[in-house]
Amino acid sequence: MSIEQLINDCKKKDIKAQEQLYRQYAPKLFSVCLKYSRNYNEAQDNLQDGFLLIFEKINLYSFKGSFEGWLKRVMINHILQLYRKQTFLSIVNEEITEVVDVIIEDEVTVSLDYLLKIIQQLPDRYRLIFNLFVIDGYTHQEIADLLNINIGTSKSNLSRARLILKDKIENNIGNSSIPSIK
Amino acid sequence: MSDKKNIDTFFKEHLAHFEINPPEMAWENIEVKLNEKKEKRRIVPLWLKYSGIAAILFIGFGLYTTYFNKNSVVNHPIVNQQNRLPNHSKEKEVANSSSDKTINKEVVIQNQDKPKDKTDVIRSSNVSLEKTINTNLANKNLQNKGIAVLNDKTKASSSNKKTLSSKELITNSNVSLVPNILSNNKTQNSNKANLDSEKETTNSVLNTTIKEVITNRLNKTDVGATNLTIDKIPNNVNTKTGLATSEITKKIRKKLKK
Repeated sequence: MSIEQLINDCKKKDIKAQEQLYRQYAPKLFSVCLKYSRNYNEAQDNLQDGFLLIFEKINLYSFKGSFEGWLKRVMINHILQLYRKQTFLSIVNEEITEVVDVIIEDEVTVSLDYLLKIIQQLPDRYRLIFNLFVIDGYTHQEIADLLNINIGTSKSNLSRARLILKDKIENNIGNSSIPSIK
Repeated sequence: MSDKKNIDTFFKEHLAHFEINPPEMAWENIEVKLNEKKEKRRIVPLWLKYSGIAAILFIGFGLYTTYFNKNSVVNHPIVNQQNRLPNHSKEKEVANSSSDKTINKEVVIQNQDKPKDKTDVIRSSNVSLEKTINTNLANKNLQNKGIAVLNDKTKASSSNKKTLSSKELITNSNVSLVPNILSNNKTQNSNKANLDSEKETTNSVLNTTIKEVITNRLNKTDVGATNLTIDKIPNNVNTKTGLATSEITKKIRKKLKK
């Protein structure tokens, strides 16, 4: 069955097609959820609600652009919207200038779990901006629009996030108790 | 030492394209919610469908009961009254036509007796009519809306009665007049007891004409002669009985309005 056929069946609310679509894209979207959420349980909740939203809005997908990209956008927007509802409790120091070159050693071997963990531990806005900018390639302008913040805030938050992550990775080096992925 | 690397590329390499299978529980939860949504969609049309059927049945039942009650209460007695009179008069016509040539006193006696029977019948019919009026009055309390229709129906039926009775009078020249007049007289009297005495004059006129007819018929043993005498009367009596019936209907209407 082609992906177009599967999407069309999902538009008709066919439960079998919906399950097939879920099976096909859930691992990719779950990774997005894990990066954007605070923890594993929240990621699972976001995945479930995000898929319900996808099945609800799939009629709006008009086969323009990649379907996977569309799914990812829906999922990210769903999570961002959750955080927009919440007030950002973290106090952000706007004075920090943007630090572009945060260098870490290439041979550092860290587990995926650990990387996810340190991202999840970032303050909410840091995490979202870091993911949007670094992983998913959004521009600062786009991030500022999505999160209702200034571009400057976005840039300084990103620098803070980089520094926090660098510290954590460097502190992790030599810590043999954490399993590493080769 | 190893190469230095930008932290952005480091994270992108590690995190951009990894896939993790979500727990099986996640799909089960989604499936439950999807089914809930489908059930909700299904329930609403079913509910609408059944409520629609119920509403139609209710309205239909209401219409059926109101119309059926009106038909049964109002029309039957009047129809009976209407039916009785022509039948009897026809019988008599036949009897008269047969006895026209053979002058027979028995026929006269029969004719004498029959009006009395008729009056009984008419009395009973009058009683039934009064009953219907009473029941109508009772219904009036219950069915405020239906009363307008009831009035119309009584109006229509009484007008029918008028035309029928007048037709009778034209076709059946002699004997049929007596019961008709008697019936009108009776009903008028009974109604007058309750109502104004305005129409006493017309009543007295009617009474005299009826007396004339009866005396003519009773005195003269020759039926043919009575036929002739009564033949002259109908035009007169027709109008008067017509008046009388219209008055009765008016009174019935007044009663109903009360």
